[in-house]
Amino acid sequence: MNPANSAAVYTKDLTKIYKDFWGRPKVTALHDLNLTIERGEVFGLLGPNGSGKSTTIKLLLGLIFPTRGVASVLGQPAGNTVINERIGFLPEESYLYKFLNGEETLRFYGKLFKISHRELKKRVPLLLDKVGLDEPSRKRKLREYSKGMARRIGLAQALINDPDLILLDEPTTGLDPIGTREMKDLIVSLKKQGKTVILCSHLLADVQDVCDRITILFKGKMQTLGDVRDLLQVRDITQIEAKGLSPVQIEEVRQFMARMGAGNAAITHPTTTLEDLFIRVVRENTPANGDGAVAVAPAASRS
Amino acid sequence: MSVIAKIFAGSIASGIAAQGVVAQVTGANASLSDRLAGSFGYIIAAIIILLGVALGLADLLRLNPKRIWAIGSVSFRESIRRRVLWVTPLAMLGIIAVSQLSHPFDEQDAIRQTTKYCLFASGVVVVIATLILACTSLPKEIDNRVIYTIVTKPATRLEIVLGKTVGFARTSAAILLVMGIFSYAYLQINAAQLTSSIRARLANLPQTDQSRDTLRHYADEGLLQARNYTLPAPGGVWGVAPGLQMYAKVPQASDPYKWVFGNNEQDAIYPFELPDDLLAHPDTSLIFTLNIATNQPRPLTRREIEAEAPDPTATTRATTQGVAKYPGPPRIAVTLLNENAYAVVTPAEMMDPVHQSELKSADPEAFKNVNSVRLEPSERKGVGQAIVVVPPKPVQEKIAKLPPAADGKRRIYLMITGITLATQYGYGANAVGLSAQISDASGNPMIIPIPRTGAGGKELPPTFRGRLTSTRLQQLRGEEDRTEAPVGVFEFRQQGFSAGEDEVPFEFRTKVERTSDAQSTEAENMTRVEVEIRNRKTGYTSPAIEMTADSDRPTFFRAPRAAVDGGDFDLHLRSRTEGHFVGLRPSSVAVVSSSQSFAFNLLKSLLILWMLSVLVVIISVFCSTFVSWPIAVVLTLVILLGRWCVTQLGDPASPQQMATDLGFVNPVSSRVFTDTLGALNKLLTITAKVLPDLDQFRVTEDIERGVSISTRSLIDPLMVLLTFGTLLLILAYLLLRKKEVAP
Repeated sequence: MNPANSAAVYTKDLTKIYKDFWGRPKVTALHDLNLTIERGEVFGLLGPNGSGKSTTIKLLLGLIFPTRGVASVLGQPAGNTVINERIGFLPEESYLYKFLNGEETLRFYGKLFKISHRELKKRVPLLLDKVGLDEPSRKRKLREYSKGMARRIGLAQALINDPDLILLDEPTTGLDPIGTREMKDLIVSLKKQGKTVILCSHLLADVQDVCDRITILFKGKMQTLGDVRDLLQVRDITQIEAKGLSPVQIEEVRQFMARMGAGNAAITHPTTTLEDLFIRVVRENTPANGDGAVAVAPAASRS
Repeated sequence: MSVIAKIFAGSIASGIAAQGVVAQVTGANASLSDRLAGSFGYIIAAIIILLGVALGLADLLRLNPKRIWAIGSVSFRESIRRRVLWVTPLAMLGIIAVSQLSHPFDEQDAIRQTTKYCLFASGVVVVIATLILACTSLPKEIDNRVIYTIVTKPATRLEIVLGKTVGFARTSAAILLVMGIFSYAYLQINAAQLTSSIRARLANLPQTDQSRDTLRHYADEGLLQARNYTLPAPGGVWGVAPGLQMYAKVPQASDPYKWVFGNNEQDAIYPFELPDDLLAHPDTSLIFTLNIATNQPRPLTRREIEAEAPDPTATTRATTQGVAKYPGPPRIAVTLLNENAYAVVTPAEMMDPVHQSELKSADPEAFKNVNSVRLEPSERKGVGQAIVVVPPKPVQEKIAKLPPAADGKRRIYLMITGITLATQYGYGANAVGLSAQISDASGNPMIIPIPRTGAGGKELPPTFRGRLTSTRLQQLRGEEDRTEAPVGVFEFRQQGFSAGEDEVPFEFRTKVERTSDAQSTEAENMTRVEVEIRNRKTGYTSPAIEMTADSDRPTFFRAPRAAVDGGDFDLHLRSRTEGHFVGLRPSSVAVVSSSQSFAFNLLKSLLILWMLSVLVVIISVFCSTFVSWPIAVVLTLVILLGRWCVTQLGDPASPQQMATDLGFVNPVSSRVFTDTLGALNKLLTITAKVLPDLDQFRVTEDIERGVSISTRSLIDPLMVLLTFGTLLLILAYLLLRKKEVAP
């Protein structure tokens, strides 16, 4: 089967060269990118600033046009407005109309998808709940939103059409650790629903947590591509985990390892991540709701 | 051919030859380029539409009103939340301040001025607001990247362009709604106060006062009116009855001549249709044969003697006591006009072959022009003849290049002006004849008569016109002696017109100019105007109706029903105040046939303003697709006002004249100058043709005069909006379609 038709995203020799006023090449932002992202996977686009991540996203969305090469999205040429019906996009910052409030914003974007008034009436509150915007926040103008709230409403607008492909550009920027975790949980749940997610970030831990495959771009070129686990695996080190060992038993394991020829075997207690620790502390100090669920405080507003 | 024509036939041929003009056979090429220039706008339009359909068919098919409305709603909401409506109270305060500080002549002038201020302020506010909003919207969205979240949705770029237009059109409608409500309320309050003041004045006015009819009209009908008129027969095309004719005296069935005054006061204009094949001959010359009756009934007055030959050394005025000095031989000047009554061939370019021998010039190419042609024989009372020749050069360079009229005919108009003082010129049935002289195959001259007939072989009637003012009004000289007073005849030909009441209201508008003598002696006097109406069907003539008139202020009078019943009547108008020149056009006198609600009229005015603002929005959106917003603002203004500016520059139709005026003696530099000026003129004209015609948006013209705005006044701007607006929207879409919206 032609990958251009079957894959969620397919690019071949995709190149973007920015030109100066006289048409002379100025910067090669992306150079011969060949990429196939399968449907249903969470794919990470990694790279430092100026590596070509955002350029790739913009090309896939038709915000800019390639200098050479092809790109197709869900079987259609990139930038085709027809295919935009099935795409959700969260830009790196929430570029939304600041004079609208949260509900108005979602209703506006819903109308662009020709979603009926009745359907919007149901879908908008659900989405606002999903991204964690409480009742008073929904009625406030976006210009009064904090960065975290703006990311949340941005995410909501990206999901208003229940898309098959979601492009998230730096989704966790501006979010507190809880928001970051919720975002990651959401990405995982989207994957479970069979959606394709393209995550563009330079927060490597986030990508590591949720992505199936990643590519690393540098200076506009693809440097590496593959499964996250494969890429991160250190093949000459073996890790053995066990629970409830006493110090005596640990010493016996160390001696056994020495006998096996692993003279400098490191046997320590594993550490949790700072993110896990933070969430645990917050949850432990938050009163439980009646149903037993842990209430997560909404992101603080600027005011 | 008349006797004189035969006698001077030789002179004609030699005169033409003397010019040594060999017209270049450039007619076909010139007409092709002219035709291309004429249809430049259509060609551009066709290209834009084809491009739009070819490149945007998919988007056109996907067009969804819901999405357009959604995008429009956001733009509208943005405008409202940016507090654009806050400018309206400022405009209102401005209107109140200016109207309170102005010094109107009377109540009617006060309401006219206030209406004008209201609409002017509304127009300024709505145009500036929409200009800024629409110019900044798209560049700002690209700049702050909000556009990312729009173009990544299923909204096409066409829907974005249309949505923006709809949104700002809604904004301008909101501004106009607010301004409209205020204007209506403010005008009503003002009108109520002013009408009661008129009633008070009317109560104290003598019954014989000539302004009584006008005041009574306002007291009865109110100051806020929207009158509908029955006008004289439509004017504009000289070949048909123009609705207004100027004579020395009212034509009588018993008199074979129609008389006009000399002293450059009145003209006779004869239309001719020229066959194209005749103009295709490079050596065609046109020969006009004129038979004009003349009458010099009185000696010159002292003032006329002074005017005829002023003595610069005289310390006292010339006297005519004991000396009856009669005017000199009757003379005429002849000019050829185009369809719009502008000069095409000047007297200096035509030839008077009869008096060619009087020419003293040694220049072999010189010829006796027709600035002052003496009629032969020159008698105080009789019929004089003259021959006027248009040589091949002006025929080829001026007449053959005239654009044909809408019906495809190429028409010229011979204007004859009597120039001798105290002389009346009479034009009978065969006053003017035209023939063309061309060479046959063997090179011998051949005379071909050109009949003065139009469609269906019907004879084209002449027009008798008064001297034109700079605003193209026809001047009617004021004269206390009724027999010496020229008369303007307004021809009403309304089939089936019936008057509802015993008296029929008329409205009269004019512009009065006073000579310096009149100003010194009668500065405070109003201009007396006398009107009588003759029913052509019944022969009934109304008694003379006298009224006073002033510039730009309507005067109302009432005529008996019998004079106008049936709709086929002539209205004879004379100015009876010496030294006062009354400016007339066919629409200067009208029957007030009905009136409409002022609110509805105001609504129509606001609708025209709204169409103007939508045009501004479209141009602004178009400009903002490819330049930054400050440049878009400037460019929008250039597009909006470009045509008007070209019109204001005037038509440098005679670069040769300008070259002469500027003192170009060297023929090469003169040629370079005239060619450059000609090319520049053509470029400007072509550019102006593709720019919108703002003259079609006549917002205040009718409403401030209390006239009902016609459907035509609504359709004209709508057509500009639809044609120009649609093309610009397509262009905006095409530009945005391939625009990279990510900076």
